[in-house]
Amino acid sequence: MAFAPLNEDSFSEDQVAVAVRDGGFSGGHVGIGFFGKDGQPKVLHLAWHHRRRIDFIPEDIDGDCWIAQVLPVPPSAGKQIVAYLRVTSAENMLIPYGLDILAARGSFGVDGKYRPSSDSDGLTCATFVTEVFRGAEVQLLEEDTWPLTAANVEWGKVVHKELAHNQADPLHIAAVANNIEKGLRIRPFEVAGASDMGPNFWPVSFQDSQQPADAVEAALSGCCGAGNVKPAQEPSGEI
Amino acid sequence: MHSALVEYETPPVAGYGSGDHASELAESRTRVVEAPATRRTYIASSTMTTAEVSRAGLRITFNAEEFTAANRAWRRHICNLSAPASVDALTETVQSTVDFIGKFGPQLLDLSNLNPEKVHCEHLAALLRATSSLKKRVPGWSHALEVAKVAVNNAGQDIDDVLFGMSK
Repeated sequence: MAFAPLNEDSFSEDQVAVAVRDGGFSGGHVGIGFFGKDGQPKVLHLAWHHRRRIDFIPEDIDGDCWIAQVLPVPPSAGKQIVAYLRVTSAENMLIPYGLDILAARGSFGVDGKYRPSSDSDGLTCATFVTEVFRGAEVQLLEEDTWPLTAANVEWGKVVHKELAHNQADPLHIAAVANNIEKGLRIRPFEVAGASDMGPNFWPVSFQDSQQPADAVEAALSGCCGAGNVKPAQEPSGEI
Repeated sequence: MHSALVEYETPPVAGYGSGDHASELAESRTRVVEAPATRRTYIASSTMTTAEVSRAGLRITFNAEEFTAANRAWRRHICNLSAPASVDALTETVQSTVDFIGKFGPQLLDLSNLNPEKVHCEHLAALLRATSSLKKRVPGWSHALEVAKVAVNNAGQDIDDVLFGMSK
């Protein structure tokens, strides 16, 4: 299996897909593909602070170059996960954009409502995907193995700046500021790459996710061309 | 608290024996009531009149008829071996389960009396998957997982498929 351009034939009604496109900053942007109750294929993703989106395929993604691959779960489980997504994604909710990948675990209630722990400062597009899947008993990543890096600290500063620029709630901005120095980040390509590895390798450690993440990034570049970056008026599909 | 009340926080089957909880609730015309000041909930017995509930400073949160209808909804496909296992049908099971929990709470989603010979394994698996984050609060969740394993075998299907991520 390989990531390929996303269209209405990328997955069936019984399947879930992981979809990736470029984002405003390095690391890509990731979402979940599935057929809704209305029989339409769509991509569920967290575009930015308070911007959880359900984009219809192909009309809403016109102009965005996504690639996708079916999540390699067994057939019956795939149907159950689609059923879960159909029900839980119906809830309209505001999800803050935040940095703490560990406190984000268990962010969704059984009804799909966003119910973070008191320590959580929000989700990214990447942790949004991993938490939605966690709710359906699919644990893609071993988050405890993700390392603190200087690059992640710098990324956290950029996120903080963008949130301030977008006039997010001051309390939220302060909470994000407190987590910058933790230096943790799950890149969207790492989520996509881990999903590609399959159930025998889940949950995937940081180290093991790197080569598959690079492969997904290369596939995106191959399908969509390098530098296919969206303008940053929506601080971008993913930061 | 009033002697005709049974604590709701404990698995409700404890106060009603081991029979079918839904039908017993319906037959006894029982109501779940809440003390607004403490937000604690109780099951009021049939001997307690509505006036007594009111005088005790409680409010009725739902009646047996609502409960029975919602309880039937989540069981509809699970207790039907001939139910379709399409995504649409599985969605109905997950939706009715989520609706039930939203209205009555996980404590009343009683999975402790499911019969492996009579349950549809894929629908039960879909319910278990959707409620896994509440497994410690849903009475009989772990028992239902074992029931599902037997049901999967009975149906000649693969546990690693139907119960993917939940079987170990």
